[in-house]
Amino acid sequence: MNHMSFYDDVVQVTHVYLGPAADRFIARQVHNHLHKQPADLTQDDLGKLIDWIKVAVGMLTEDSELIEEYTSELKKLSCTTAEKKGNA
Amino acid sequence: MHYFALTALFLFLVMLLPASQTAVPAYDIAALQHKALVLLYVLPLAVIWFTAFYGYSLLRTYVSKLHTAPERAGFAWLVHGSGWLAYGLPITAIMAVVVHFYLGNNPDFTETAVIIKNYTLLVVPLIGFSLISTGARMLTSRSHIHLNRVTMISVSAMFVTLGLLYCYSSLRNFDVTSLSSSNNPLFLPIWLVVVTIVIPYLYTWFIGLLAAYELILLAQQSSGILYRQALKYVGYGVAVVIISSITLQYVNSVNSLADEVSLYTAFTAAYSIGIITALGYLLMALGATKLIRIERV
Repeated sequence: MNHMSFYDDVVQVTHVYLGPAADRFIARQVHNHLHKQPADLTQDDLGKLIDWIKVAVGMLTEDSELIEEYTSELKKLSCTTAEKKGNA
Repeated sequence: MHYFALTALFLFLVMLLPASQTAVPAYDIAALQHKALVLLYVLPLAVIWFTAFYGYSLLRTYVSKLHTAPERAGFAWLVHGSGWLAYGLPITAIMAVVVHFYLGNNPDFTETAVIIKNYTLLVVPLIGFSLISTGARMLTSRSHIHLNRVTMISVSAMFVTLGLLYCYSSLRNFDVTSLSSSNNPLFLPIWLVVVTIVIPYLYTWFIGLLAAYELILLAQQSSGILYRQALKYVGYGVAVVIISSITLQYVNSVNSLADEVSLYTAFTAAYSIGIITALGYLLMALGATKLIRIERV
């Protein structure tokens, strides 16, 4: 059984880019820009979250390919979640 | 703030106190020339100290941003260690100026002055490297990074070579026929030199080299592409600071035992090592800035 929340999935993807800072980074984006608690993050918030993440990561690096790769990995989460729902 | 206060105190003492009674005849220069040379030597030192305090303060800011993060403890030890090394730079220099001044008025104080100077120069890196080593160990253990066997052998070989060279340079000027003889440049019995200076220096350098290696390993193998890019600057920066500091301690301790060192050699060695140390602190500052930015956006 998979007990991971959608927030955990986002953090897992982010971990590849921000390592141990991933959890704090996503929690800040959710809290500051979506005005939600991290645990309340849903798939519906993903589009808006990705927009904010693009802005934030753009301040950390000028590597547009890396930003593109990161956001496309995040976008895949919506498909994965939809698949999970379909299988259920 | 502390940097400016300590540097101002140092400059004040250097310019106010009379010229060294030993340096003026030794280098065949006038007292005024001595002041000018000292100022020429001190101003670049002040820049190096500034980079040390700058790097330390940025790393401290980064740790304050970590709040309850699990890696905070490891970085906090790194901050304590780099802070100890940064404060040690002006404090040991101020102590040296005061001791030299006192020595000028009390020639009988020579032996005590040399002993105080040697132990002060040892204590700062001993404590600083121990703190950094604790932090490096905590961070690598937390990241499940294991030391590579081949590299460990290389570090050990480097340490053994360094240690043997140091022992040779240290003990060749000693009267080894009597363990209790204090007739040597350090004014201490040989057994006391070995137990309280040679062994602690070797220990300090070993944990310093090991910490530098662990930090480089952490910088190379830590997770997160952007995080790793920032951490590389901190890891390599601290490693450069440690290695240049070991070089300086080595040169200082061997110089204190050498018969004569020319002014040109002394200046060139001090500047070259100082520039490398400053570059290390600047790398550390750059990495800390990048890490702070990750925690801010």
